[in-house]
Amino acid sequence: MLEDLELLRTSNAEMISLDSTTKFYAGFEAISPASIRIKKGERVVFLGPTGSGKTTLLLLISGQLSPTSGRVTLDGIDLKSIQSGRNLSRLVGMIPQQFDLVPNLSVLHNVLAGRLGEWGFFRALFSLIFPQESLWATNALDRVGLAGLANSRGGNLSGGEQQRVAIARLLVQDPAVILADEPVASLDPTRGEEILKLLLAIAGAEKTLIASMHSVSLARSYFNRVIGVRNGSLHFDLPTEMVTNTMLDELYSLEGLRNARQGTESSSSPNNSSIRDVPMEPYKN
Amino acid sequence: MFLWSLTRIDWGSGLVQARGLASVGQFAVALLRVDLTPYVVSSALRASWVTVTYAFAGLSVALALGLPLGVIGSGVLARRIRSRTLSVLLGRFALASMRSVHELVWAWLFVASFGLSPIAAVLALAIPYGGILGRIFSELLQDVSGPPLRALRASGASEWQILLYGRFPMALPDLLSYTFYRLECGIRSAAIMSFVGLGGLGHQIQLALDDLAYERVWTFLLFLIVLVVLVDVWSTSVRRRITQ
Repeated sequence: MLEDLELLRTSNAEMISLDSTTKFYAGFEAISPASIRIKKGERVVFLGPTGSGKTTLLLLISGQLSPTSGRVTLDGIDLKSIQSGRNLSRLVGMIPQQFDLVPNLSVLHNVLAGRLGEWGFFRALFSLIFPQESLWATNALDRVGLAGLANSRGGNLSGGEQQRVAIARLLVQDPAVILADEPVASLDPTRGEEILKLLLAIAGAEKTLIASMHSVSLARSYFNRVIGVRNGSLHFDLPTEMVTNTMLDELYSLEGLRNARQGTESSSSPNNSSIRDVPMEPYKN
Repeated sequence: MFLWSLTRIDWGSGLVQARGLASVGQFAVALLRVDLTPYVVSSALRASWVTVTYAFAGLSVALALGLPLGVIGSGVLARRIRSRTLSVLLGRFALASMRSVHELVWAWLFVASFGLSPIAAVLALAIPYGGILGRIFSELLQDVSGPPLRALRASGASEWQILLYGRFPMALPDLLSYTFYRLECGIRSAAIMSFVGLGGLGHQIQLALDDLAYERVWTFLLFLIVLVVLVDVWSTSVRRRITQ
């Protein structure tokens, strides 16, 4: 990951910034005022206990949630001012934790949906009968290792395959910022590493990658900046090598942790399937 | 409330007419002697064909009316709350008006305007059925599962594209099955409408009843039953193919 640090020094473009951003759900403070600056090409991971607000932060950055106060800016543009979904989709794309393919459509159409931001209505309609620009889709499916599944029905795929299709769709959409919510949560460690390597390869040097994770060891191996989130506020924000086990202990400690079920945050977020209260692997080694 | 309404009926001796029971008996027995002579069977076939074409034509027009109005009535194309409310109000009002008049009344109206022509039958079927289909379609399109729609929106899709790539595909099995069910109802309605003189199985049944030829009535009823069963089978096979 040292090569990434080199890139950080040379590219100064600030890609994402949150300025005193908060999010309230009916009086419940899901996110306390948070200010973050992320540069283009960084690899950032949000770590923290369940219900701490990691998903909410991702949703704020992706524009799917709007902040109660404060500002979210992508590439210098305030997200609130973006009216067209099209422009937003060029900036940011997200791979959510829950499966979100259209089950009745083929994998090909699900992946080509990444192009809907560029297509007009009639082209989209036409493509359902005669797939347009299918080269985008077949290349993307190749890259995620699902070549040959183009004509399968979306709903017939396994969970891991559906996730890869979602990644292929993101490839086709080609946004500048890639967000991933718990990308390895339901995968064994080997598959988890494969997916992370894939995400890193896709992000390359030009795109910014932000993920929320449970697995501390994988997070430390693949990301160069760690932001600890606890009870809706930022606990620490450091380059990976400066994060100590003590900090992680504090981050995940059960004392003083607000109960995820009492807060409305996890029930309002679309991804409330993870019910783990402690990190998956022991990080004390 | 249902139980209360039962107590309001006069269950006394006036419930069944004296000769009525005897007629019912005669009618039931006639099933055993159902008339299958070539002449009757061929007129049953011809009448079935007329009824079926009325039903199909009526449902096709009903779809053409109900689908767009259903989309408008669901409000799924509007992104802002104000336009969505307007869309839903207009759509639902139009659909409800179409539905509120029974097809027989429409038939009577159209026969008065167009005379005894097939157009009268087709429109009389299409308008109320369009209203019914549209109402159900609007709800099916609204009730589609959320995460795939959110993903489409995040990919930059417009509300129209979300309708095309998300709502329609996901609602399609239910849309189809409800349409087929209405087609079945349409066959029954078309049969009844032929009592108005528009030809078809109902007309034949009426003629046979006038002649008190219960065996012939059963012939036509059996054809009606077979038609409905055939539509049911077709509907099941289409639904299976779409959802495999």
